[in-house]
Amino acid sequence: MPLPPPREVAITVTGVNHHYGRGEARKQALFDNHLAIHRGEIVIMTGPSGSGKTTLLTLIGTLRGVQEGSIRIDQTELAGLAPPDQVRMRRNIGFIFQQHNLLDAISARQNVRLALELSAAPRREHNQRADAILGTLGLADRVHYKPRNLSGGQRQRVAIARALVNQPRIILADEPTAALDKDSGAIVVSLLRRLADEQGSSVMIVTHDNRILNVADRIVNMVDGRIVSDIRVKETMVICAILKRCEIFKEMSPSDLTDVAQKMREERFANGATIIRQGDIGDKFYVIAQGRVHIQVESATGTRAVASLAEGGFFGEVALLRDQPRNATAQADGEVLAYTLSKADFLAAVRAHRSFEAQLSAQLFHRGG
Amino acid sequence: MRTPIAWFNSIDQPRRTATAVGGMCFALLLIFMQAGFLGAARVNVSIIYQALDFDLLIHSRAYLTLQRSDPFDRLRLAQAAAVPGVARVSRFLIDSFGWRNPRTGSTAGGMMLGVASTAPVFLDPAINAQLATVRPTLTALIDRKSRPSYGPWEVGGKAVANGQPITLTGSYELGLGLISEGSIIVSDDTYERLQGPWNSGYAQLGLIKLAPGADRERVAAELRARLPRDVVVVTKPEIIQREQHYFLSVKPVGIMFQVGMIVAFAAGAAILYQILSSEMSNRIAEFATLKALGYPITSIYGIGIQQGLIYALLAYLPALGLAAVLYRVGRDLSGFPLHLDAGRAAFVLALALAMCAFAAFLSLWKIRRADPASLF
Repeated sequence: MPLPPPREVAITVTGVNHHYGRGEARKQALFDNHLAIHRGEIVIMTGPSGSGKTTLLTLIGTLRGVQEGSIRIDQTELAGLAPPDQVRMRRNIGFIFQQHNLLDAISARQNVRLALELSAAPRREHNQRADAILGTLGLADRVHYKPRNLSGGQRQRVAIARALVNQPRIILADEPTAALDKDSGAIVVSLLRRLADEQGSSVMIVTHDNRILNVADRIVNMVDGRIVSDIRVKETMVICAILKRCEIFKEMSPSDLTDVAQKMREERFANGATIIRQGDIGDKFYVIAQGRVHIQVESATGTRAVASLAEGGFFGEVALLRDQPRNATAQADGEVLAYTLSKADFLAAVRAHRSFEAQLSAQLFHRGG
Repeated sequence: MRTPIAWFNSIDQPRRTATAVGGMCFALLLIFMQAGFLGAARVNVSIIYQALDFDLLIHSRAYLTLQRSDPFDRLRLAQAAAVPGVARVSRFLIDSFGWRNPRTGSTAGGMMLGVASTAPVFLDPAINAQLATVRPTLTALIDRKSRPSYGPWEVGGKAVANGQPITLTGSYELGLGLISEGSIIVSDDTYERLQGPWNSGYAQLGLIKLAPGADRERVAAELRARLPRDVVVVTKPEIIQREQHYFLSVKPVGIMFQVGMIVAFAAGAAILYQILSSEMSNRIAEFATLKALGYPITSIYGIGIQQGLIYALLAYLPALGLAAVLYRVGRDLSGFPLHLDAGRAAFVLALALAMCAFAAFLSLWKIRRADPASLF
């Protein structure tokens, strides 16, 4: 089975601070924020109002200049970007505002066309494409209506059509479903999901709407200008599913498993790559998600293969538990996808979950050290 | 095709657009009328010179305008005739006179033009042809465009000028408009009878016709060198230009029309600014949205400027039509030479565009302030 392709990072936020006001009134709104968002990922941002979610969103959307730190979208650094380049950058971003912000004097179709007219799409396709996306959002019979003749939910859907019609690489949304009923909200969310999955668009949603939390790949929580948690919902679920198949996690409760899974990072290894080397200082614990790993021990008498681990297998725990150098070398046999836990997280997990410790001891005993 | 946002914005608020267009239309119509009067007055002040056939003109050094021209010694005419290149020098007399309205007995003003009955000094051959009929003293030709205050008259009939009876032997069409209520043409003999015998030694103007092939500037220089300093020699375009300049820049009437135009322009620009600026304010969130979509600031300014242009053009066209109607009415009522030519239409259009530029310049800074970050 081929590995799923590695996910590109679309947005990288590094050490971002932001201030409002000047002099005495100067007030810091963002404090040293770090965030990486991948292609095809839907990130929901939560947090109390005034926590800096919107500020971060406008910085990523190049609607504000970056003051301190760095934000990269694909290969472009936003800090210090000249205004004309900022304007160009915005064309790759679909904005969904809390207020629909449609132009009052023109029809739904024309509002959607405003975005198309900035794209490379051939002119003769403009109407057709605008009508197509309006149709998807259930507005096929409203294309010629002006905003004032549409209901709140319909207006919001037109605004969403305008944001999504160019299939932007990045979609930034502020409470996109607040004005929508349950069904419309579901249509919008599934459209976002489809764009993320099919076009690899990265979606950031600021919302308090619990109904749409299940669409999120990650949930980022901000408080007082800082990202206080970054829960990778979907990845955690995948990791949990893999961990459940492992002997050592079998006895763990789902919530304990989730705790561990959340701390794990994905790592990839090419065929033949050395994952750990005998004699090195141990720093991580590995669980194999896909592929095979050969374990071999080198001694005075030569190299001896001790095991071949398959999906669901784990290794690297001995050095961490005993605070010793690695006692064996692990090598990838074919491409390997692994989830790793740092030494600190690993030891913390062992301490926190008795069942985990018991399983590990049994395994250690079984392997004979 | 790009969606013409400015157009849709304009027709989306018909009442506001009507206010802007109505106000500007009125201002432009005012400008049309002022410019029309001014232009007509310009033509009008030089109308006598334009009717006369001459290349160079001799007038007294004390000359101010045609209506205020001092007489000079008619010996100068003989001196001028001796200069090479001069084909003919004609004595021209002009002064105001009183015309008695035969019906009411009241006196109306007028200009009396006196020429030798043998000198064809008019461009209109119909006038020259009738000059022979005024050779007998106390005969005159009368301007058919004289005002109704002249009362009834008829060719061949009697009339009273400066208290003396005259016979009308013919008529012509001139129309002095602003200058005077009417005019008559008489022979120099009659002129001296009606205006006073002392005129016999004098001329008001000397009309010089050049010999074929003679160089106007060269002859003028020669005349200036030969004639004493009590007279001045000018060309026909020079004197017409000077008369117009005097009227436009020195006489209060001309200045009044010009001030009127400036006020109308300012009013139009202010109305446009008001409407455009409140339009920009109302749509500030829309402009911010366009910025967020990735429209460059220049194309957003473009929307504001286009809207100004739409207002200006929507106002200009009816103003042009109304001006054409009012010019015709004015022409028919007053005999004033009000004409809507391409030059004036273009001039007012340029002013309309200038209003638009002015209003756009003042109201567009609001677009700059539209902040897309405020939309979230």
